[in-house]
Amino acid sequence: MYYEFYASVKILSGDNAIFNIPNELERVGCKSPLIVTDKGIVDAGLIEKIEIAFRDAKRDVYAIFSDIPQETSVSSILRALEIADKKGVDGILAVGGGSVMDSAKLISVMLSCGGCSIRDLVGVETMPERVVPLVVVPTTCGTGSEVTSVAVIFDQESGRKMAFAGSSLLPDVAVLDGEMIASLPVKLTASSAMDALTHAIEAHLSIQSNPISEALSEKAIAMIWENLPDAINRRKSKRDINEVRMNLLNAATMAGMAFSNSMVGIVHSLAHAVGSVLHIPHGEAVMLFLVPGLELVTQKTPEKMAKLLFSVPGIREFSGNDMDRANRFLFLLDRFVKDVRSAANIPCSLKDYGFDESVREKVVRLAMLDGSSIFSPLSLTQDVANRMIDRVL
Amino acid sequence: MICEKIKYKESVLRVLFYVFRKAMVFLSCRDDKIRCVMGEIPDGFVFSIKVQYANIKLSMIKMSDGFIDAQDSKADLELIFVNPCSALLVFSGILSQHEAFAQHRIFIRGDISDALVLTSAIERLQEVIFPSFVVKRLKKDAFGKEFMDVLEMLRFYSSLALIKTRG
Repeated sequence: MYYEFYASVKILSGDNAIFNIPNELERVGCKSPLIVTDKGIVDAGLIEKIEIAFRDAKRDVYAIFSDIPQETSVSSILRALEIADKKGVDGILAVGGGSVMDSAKLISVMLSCGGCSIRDLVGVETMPERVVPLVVVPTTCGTGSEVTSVAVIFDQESGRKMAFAGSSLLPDVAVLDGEMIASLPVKLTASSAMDALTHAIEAHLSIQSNPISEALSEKAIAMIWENLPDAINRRKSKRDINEVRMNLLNAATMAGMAFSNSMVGIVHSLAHAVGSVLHIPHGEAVMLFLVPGLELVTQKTPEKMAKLLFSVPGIREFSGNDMDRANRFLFLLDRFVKDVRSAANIPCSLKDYGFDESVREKVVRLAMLDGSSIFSPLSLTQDVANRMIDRVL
Repeated sequence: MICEKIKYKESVLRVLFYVFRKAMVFLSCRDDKIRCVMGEIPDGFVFSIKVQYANIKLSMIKMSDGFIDAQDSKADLELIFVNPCSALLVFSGILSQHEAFAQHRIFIRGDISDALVLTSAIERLQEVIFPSFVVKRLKKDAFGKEFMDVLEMLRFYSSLALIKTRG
């Protein structure tokens, strides 16, 4: 066995973690940061919280770019770079979800290489070293982008998503503070946490999985399974809601570290494809294909799937062979997904999102061209993609 | 193990690259499966495969009727093996391309979707030029070699022996 594992991000996790941001920026050599965020984050008052942390440290927020769209785009990155140049910033502070963090990663790399074109950076491990500091604050509990070495940007010119991967994209510091996801709507909490759960499961099953990523995946699965129901039913829950939020944030980060080093699989390939064609929110798309995709993968790696059964809270032992344990895990997972879906009011069929047979071919083609499937133990053929779609119609 | 045993890796790789290049040219204009896969990328698309720390490079351009040598054209997609050992493992059929990607033995400069298309084409090529027991180890969903594949393999190796392939 041979594997490589990157985990160079410093993680600050816990109550009031955001108050350490000014100190961390200083530590990594950033005096004049550009805050990269989106309008939703500003409207939710999350930037105000960051500003309080800066005021406490007797510092001003130097510059803000809040124009990152929901689907990260090349044009918004170029606009942010213009502002960064004009203001002479020396670091990036990203506050937001996956799109914001992915944009911030590219902005910091492009600032580092001074004048390189974004299209020249597309690829795997071919990026120049990042010297401009990057600190990220996730505001959802799903993408794991705060600790991943990947970024996906939409290129309007070609109409395709460009994928970037490399250790230069790993932030210097990730700040996990439950307060930053306190105002996240139930539906978004559910879908983003299910995205994190899928990261953990697919990373565990990947051909790139290794002992470190497997340990992270197993713990992340257990924590999401245990905490997500309380986060969704926050009114009925008797648990400390801030602790629940922190657990979800930590779990999403662990799942992110696992999948950054082991990658995901065919569930994500299909989710990316339907996301591009039907504009289904990523977390919801992943939820649709999670069980149908894993049922097919199980045939290839029952032993790896079987191990996941013991990550389900309350399960200590189970008799039977690997296939029995794998099937039991899938049964429990199916029930869990259905419960989350009904509690968060998330549609359960592709048709609910406007799917019709005219787009099937396009979805299948895009899924087969998606890089996520490279690391799946099961080859994503036309037949496999069609079977997964049939299951969620 | 093989990397320790083989002393003249660069020379061995040159031979393997030669066979691979010939096979790519030969099959890209004959084999429907490769042609179907490569239909995803436009004509004029240039890809190159390089090996770091060794002066070995293969560069090809896609034309409507298959691949030909690209000489010094700028590549749209580059696959770069991190060292000669990694390239040897892949080109000798010991390690699949998926495993090589998973083990960070290959860098990609260019679109990952295009790399996936090329990977599928190379996988098909390996299916033809390698014997069944190697293919079964390399492919995620390998089936036995079809009669036509065996025939194609024989044709390719006989044409290689007679130096008949174009390019």
